[in-house]
Amino acid sequence: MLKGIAAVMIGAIASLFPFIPGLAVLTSPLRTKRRVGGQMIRITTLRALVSSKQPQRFQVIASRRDAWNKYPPEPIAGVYLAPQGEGNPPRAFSVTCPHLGCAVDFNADTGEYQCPCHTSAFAADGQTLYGPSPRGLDELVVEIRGEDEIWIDYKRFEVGKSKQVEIPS
Amino acid sequence: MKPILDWLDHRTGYRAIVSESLYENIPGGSRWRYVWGSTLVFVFFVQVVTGIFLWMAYSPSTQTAWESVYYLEYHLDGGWLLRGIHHYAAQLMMILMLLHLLQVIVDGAYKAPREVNFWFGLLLMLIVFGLGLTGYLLPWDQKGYWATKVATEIAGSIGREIPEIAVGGADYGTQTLTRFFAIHAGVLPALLVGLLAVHLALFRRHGITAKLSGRREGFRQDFWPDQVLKDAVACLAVLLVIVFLAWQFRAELGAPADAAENYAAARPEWYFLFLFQFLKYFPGEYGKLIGAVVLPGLLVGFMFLMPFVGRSRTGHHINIAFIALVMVGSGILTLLALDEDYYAARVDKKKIAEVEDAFAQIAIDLRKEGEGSQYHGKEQTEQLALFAGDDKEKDDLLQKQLVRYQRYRTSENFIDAVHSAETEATRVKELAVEWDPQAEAYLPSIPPTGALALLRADPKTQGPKLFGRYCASCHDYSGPDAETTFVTVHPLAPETGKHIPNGAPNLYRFASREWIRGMLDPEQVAKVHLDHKTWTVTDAPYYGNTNIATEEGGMVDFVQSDLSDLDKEGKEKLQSIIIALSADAHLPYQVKADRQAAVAGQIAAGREAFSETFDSYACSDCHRWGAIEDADDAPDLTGYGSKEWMIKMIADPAHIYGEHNDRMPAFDPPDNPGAQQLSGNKIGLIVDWLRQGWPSASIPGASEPHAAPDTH
Repeated sequence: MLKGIAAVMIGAIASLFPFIPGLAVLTSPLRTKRRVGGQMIRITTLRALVSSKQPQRFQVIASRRDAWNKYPPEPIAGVYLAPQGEGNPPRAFSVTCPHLGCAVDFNADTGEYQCPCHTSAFAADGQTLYGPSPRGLDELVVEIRGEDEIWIDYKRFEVGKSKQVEIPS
Repeated sequence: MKPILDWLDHRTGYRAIVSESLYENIPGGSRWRYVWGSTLVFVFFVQVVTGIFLWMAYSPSTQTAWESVYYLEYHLDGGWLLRGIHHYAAQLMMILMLLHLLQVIVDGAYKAPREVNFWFGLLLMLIVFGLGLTGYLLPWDQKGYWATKVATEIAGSIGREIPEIAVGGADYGTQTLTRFFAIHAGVLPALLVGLLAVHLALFRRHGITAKLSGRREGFRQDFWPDQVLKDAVACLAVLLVIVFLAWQFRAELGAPADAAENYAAARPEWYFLFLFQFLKYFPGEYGKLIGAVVLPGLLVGFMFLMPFVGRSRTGHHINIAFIALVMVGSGILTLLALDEDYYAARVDKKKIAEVEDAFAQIAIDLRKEGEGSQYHGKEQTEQLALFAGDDKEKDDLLQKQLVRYQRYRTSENFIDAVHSAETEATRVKELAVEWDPQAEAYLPSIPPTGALALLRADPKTQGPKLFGRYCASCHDYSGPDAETTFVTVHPLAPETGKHIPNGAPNLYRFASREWIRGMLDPEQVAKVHLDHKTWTVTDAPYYGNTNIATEEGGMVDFVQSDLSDLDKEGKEKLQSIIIALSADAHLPYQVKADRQAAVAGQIAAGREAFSETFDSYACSDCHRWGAIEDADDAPDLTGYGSKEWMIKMIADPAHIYGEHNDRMPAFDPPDNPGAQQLSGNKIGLIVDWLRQGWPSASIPGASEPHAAPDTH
């Protein structure tokens, strides 16, 4: 009887041990330190924006990391810059619809941001006009550097929530 | 409870299965010598478990294989242990197979009615060898790549089709990795499981071959719990050994595989070293075929015949003798392989002192006499015989030492190659990470093209290689703290012993303050020593071994006349010029000193002193420098020693030296791209290395490039 128990216990220890480093590796993404806080990214210049009165779409170009890779800067997202009149810095809105993550477009005729997926619409200041979106468009902080350069504090936010919750990176 | 179990047993019949599995009767009782089979199954189980977890992290392509293994080893929690267990379990499996095979043969467990089972066992052994071979390649590091290449070349001796199917083409590449990976993780394990099932079923059909002797006769025990307990203990012991090894010695990861860089330290894993050594005795065209395919094939073939040979008592003894011979032979071959490789590490250099001295003397004679030398055009053995002359004793000694000498040199090359490989492996891992200020940590930052690109763009790694290939035939690079040294032998003219000026300045810490001071030192600028004992030019740090030294009215003249016997004022003037000029180079290891000099006003003073006359001339009388633009004759010193200046110099020396250029070729002439020897990229690597401007080690805190201590 005792021998049997000993055999089972010893066998179990030996057999289960290899799973330990395996599961450590498997669950390692859960333990990566995530920090809140955005990434300052240069979008364009005031000069480039001066000609339009309508919101204009720009690419967010930044370096991306993926496991062991660091990619050279490439488009990772989109942002709308809405001019606020002479002498004022533009407002920046994320193109990600807060409903389920599709990309919104600005409709010049209606003056609304429109989402093609579930027909949410947003006003020029980002507020929801109609549609299933739980909150308005996410606004990003704009910083003017060196008199002319438009930088934004790029952040990502969870979709489908009525409160804006930042996704730590 | 019992009614439920009864119901289950009626539906599945589990009680009979359990009973049959557990209550096998072992005549003679359970024994430790029977555990090896179980330990093999256990280790295979460990490999499957760790293998599947590894599979979740590994990426089989030439640009991601090494990188994914690196990432797992250094950046995923527990990755090093997972990989370590997998690596050392593979090693241990080879040993356990040996023990199992030995026990089976010695105990006669291959005899009727167990012949077929024995054959299945042999097939399993071959599959495990295959697993070892295919697994070794997967990290795609230099060691695995070159060692496996040899193996596929051997297979190629049978017919080109075999390696081309395995390799996925004529060359090693991504297809090789995907095929090897499929074989390693899919095909062979599946085959193994299938054959193992049959092996176990057949084993149970006939039962254990009991080694009954004396006290064991009549003693019977069941598999459960006695043998199971012994098996479990053995398995745990094996696991402890594996984990200990993984803990103490991490699984190795060399530099990424580089098809363009020959790897002199390529060796198969230790369990194939006997074959590697064996092949050395079969040179020539068919040697590979005979040594690696035919003979081992015959050996394994004989093993398949063992059940029939062993029918008689004598036959059984023949089998035991055979396997003992094979094991001992393989053991000896393995030790021989290791001994040859590490010969230089264990043999005292004194044992080859006489023959080394002889060769030195012979080299001197060859330099002195040229083609007239008695040693000219002769083999080493003949040269030594001539050297010894009539002294028979000396000749014997030299010939004996020659053998040692050749083994020593071969071994030295191997050991050096291993060291370089280790240095490169460490270096690429330094280059693979970058400090991320947001994450406040060193994060892996390998470009999508792969880690090899990092190494190829690293001046610290490539500089010495390129310098050795393109520059070292003329330029020396040697000094205190130099990690690599290049010193070329420049012989004197044969017979006459005249000086043939075919050298160039020592470029160690070129454009630093010490270097410039030496060049402006009347004693050093044209210094050269003609050593008539060794028949070489020695000690020519600057222009001594060039034609510039004998140029009339040139720089050397100026230094030797105007800059000799300077008074205190003159010395200070010279010093300030040196400091100012050297600062133009922006040498990474002189940054602090240059900054201090600028603050102290020394650089401004130096720029002024540049136009002040020494004895007859001022520097500005011949040289342009920045805003000082009067003269035109001598090299333009604007940005002297800077990266741009040096690249321009190497690309086309005439650009800087004009007519005064001695013999330095243009390595990338802008007006003649057909004559390009080095691309701008490669010149940049050499220049960065000479300036010691390379990415530094990513040790937390070491954010400054390696700075040698400033001497003033």
